[in-house]
Amino acid sequence: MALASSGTLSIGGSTANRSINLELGRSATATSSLGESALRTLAGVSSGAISISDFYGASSSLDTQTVTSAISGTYGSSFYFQGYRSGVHGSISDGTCNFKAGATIINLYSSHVYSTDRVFFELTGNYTNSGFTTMSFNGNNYARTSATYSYQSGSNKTQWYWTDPTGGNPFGHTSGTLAVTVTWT
Amino acid sequence: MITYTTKEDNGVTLAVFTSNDINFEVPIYGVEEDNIQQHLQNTIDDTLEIIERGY
Repeated sequence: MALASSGTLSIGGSTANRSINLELGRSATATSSLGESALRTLAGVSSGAISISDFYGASSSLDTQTVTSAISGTYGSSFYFQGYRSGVHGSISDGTCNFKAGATIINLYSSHVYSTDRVFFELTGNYTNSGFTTMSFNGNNYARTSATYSYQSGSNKTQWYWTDPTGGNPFGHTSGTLAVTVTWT
Repeated sequence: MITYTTKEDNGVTLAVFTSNDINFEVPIYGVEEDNIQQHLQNTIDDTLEIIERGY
């Protein structure tokens, strides 16, 4: 989530779009200073004077997508899916991956198959296992280095998948659709 | 026997290998040396099953 583009910002604090610490993934009460490299990077001020106003609209995210998550199958049954699968269920906006040269996000979904729950992030094309550190949504973080990564030449698809930490409801709904913000840092 | 190389990625060791025309990178931290082959084979099997089923 980007910091607010006007009004009060602070280094600390617990309001998501007004706390520089939170934007950086730090605790609300972490000790940070404006001259730190991480804060300068966030503000886009590499050297010289820096002020709180430099942080208006700043975002630590590499990309933010809105997944309109839908459910395929019946939630709670042996097989069901949440999120977005191209041509199957749900939708995504804008669906292009900024940190992979505008690659198409073909799928971003979870699967529940008997007792196995997974979360998938898939791009069309052949992309290296790099470019982001963490994918996050609904309060859960998916570290890239914890994923099983593969490039599948048969379908020309790059895939990362993780064990679903929620045990079957990572998108946070059991029926209908829900808009979920997904960020990559 | 699955032949693999390793690489370090942000402090994590990944096994890098190709199987069934699929290029894999699989974290192997925390996996006992004696269990790595089975771990990689399980990953291949899981991925092939995902591909076969379409999810």
